Amino acid sequence: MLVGRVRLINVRSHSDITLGFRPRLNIIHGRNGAGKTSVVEGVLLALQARSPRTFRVTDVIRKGSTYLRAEVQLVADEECEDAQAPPCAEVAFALSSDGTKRCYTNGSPLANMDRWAQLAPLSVFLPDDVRLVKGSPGRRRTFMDALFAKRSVQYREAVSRYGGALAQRNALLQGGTVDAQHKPWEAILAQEGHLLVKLRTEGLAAFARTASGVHRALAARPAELRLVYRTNAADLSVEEYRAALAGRRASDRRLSFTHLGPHRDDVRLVVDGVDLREAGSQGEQRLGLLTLLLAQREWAQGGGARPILLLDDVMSELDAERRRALLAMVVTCGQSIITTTDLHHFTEGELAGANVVEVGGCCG
Amino acid sequence: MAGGLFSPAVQRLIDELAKLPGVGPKTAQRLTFYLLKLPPEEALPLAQAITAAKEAVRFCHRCFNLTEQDLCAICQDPRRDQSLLCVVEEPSDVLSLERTHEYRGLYHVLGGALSPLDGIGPDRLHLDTLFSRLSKEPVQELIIGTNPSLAGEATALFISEQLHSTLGGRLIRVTRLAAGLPVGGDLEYADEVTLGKALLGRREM
Ligand SMILES: [Zn+2]
Repeated sequence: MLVGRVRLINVRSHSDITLGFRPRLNIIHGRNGAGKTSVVEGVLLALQARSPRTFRVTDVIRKGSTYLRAEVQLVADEECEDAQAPPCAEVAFALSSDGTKRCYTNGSPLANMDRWAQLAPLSVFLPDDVRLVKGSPGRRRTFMDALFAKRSVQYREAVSRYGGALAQRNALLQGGTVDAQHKPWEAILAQEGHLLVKLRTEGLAAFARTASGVHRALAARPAELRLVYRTNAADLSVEEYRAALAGRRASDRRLSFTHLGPHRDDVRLVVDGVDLREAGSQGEQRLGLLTLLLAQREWAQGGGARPILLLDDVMSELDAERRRALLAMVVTCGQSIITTTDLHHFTEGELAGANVVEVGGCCG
Repeated sequence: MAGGLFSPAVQRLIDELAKLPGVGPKTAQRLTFYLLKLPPEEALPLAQAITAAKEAVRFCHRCFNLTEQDLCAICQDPRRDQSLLCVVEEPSDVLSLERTHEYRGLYHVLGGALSPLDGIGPDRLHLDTLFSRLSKEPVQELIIGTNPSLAGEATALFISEQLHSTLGGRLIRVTRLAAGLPVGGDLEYADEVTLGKALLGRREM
């Protein structure tokens, strides 16, 4: 689904603002400090009840107010048939300063936002949040799982069975039980872990082709992006895997933790031999993040809802030629919302096809 | 719900009903008010039926199926094939398999499946009795009919693994009831045709 009308009450500097969005390209224009990023944040609050900018979500409430409310009207994406999507929906999130959260759909309270995360997934680029590239491996595993699970039932089942068996084995490690009880769980772990490594290897090889294409179009100089899969369970047959788990039982027990397996996998972005997590510049890390989000969106054409792109201040990251390349990628389908301080970053033609939304008064 | 909203006796009935599987607090409340509205001659038989069943019904000494005697009807039936033994998780699974009319052997009810997370180890299941039955009774084929869930699968693997060390040299055919059953489901909810096919299509472990 796509974002239609957005109303934000007491979100950061906005006391009460209503903005209208359309399919394809939307540009939020305003000077620095006008609250453009807060609009992106408000959409995220309404649809996912979280903010990427702060741990304490109550920080988002406007100073001097006791609550905030973020409302998003979702409309069907006519180009992307989704049998589960209603023609439209009003989704809202309310938060009071004591931390009480409430989610609503069409005015009725809702236990959580999972449904909207499925029907209206968001891909958010914030220049100050490159954790997907720079942060812990868990973030990249979650990204990878979402990517592959959408395409493959087999992958979804492997993830779920692996996770279940891992939790059971870890419970046994803490209990100090006899070896015989470990065997069945290790057998399942070996089977599913082996399968997961295989599916991730294959999936990443395919996704890397999309990602490196996107990266090539966006990078200022010719550079080759590779996605390097790191796993400690590579090249193990199911039998060897099972034996390795059994062999490590004693040392695993000491730390109550299973060390072998794809639950510790990582995938690194490597540009011309430089691992962006370890040694990438901030600009390179931002470009890496943008690449992942755009490649994910392209990849999603295969099925399921296409993520809505929320790109905050992305144009200043790119030179004129790369801006054209980025816009060419995003305008063809779905919905993108891009914030900018400078409309000159867009061509006449791009502006003509876009919905320009002014925030914080026009600054000419 | 805030305390003191209902009289203690009413609250106690709601609490007891809410413990039943699939019954939430709201349903428990609805059932309570329904029961309270009934004339005594209609409500009391339910209470009596629960008491009578709890007093009369126990577990079969041999297979841990539900029975009102020492041995269940299946264990007492001389026409059942004594060379076939099917291991299931719950007494309700026996019922489901019986409804298929495809199975003529005996059963062994484990009383659950292995789940270390829930504190369920082998000692919490009727596994010792299973192995001692296998060493005493003339069983030729053991059909493992635990649920096609992760816990059911681990239990099946555990049994087949343990069997090798328990039986010494004796050979028992071990098969798994699995083909055609929806993964992650319960035997209890599988329809008769699917279960019947799963029985006929069981595979060696
Ligand atoms: Zn019996």
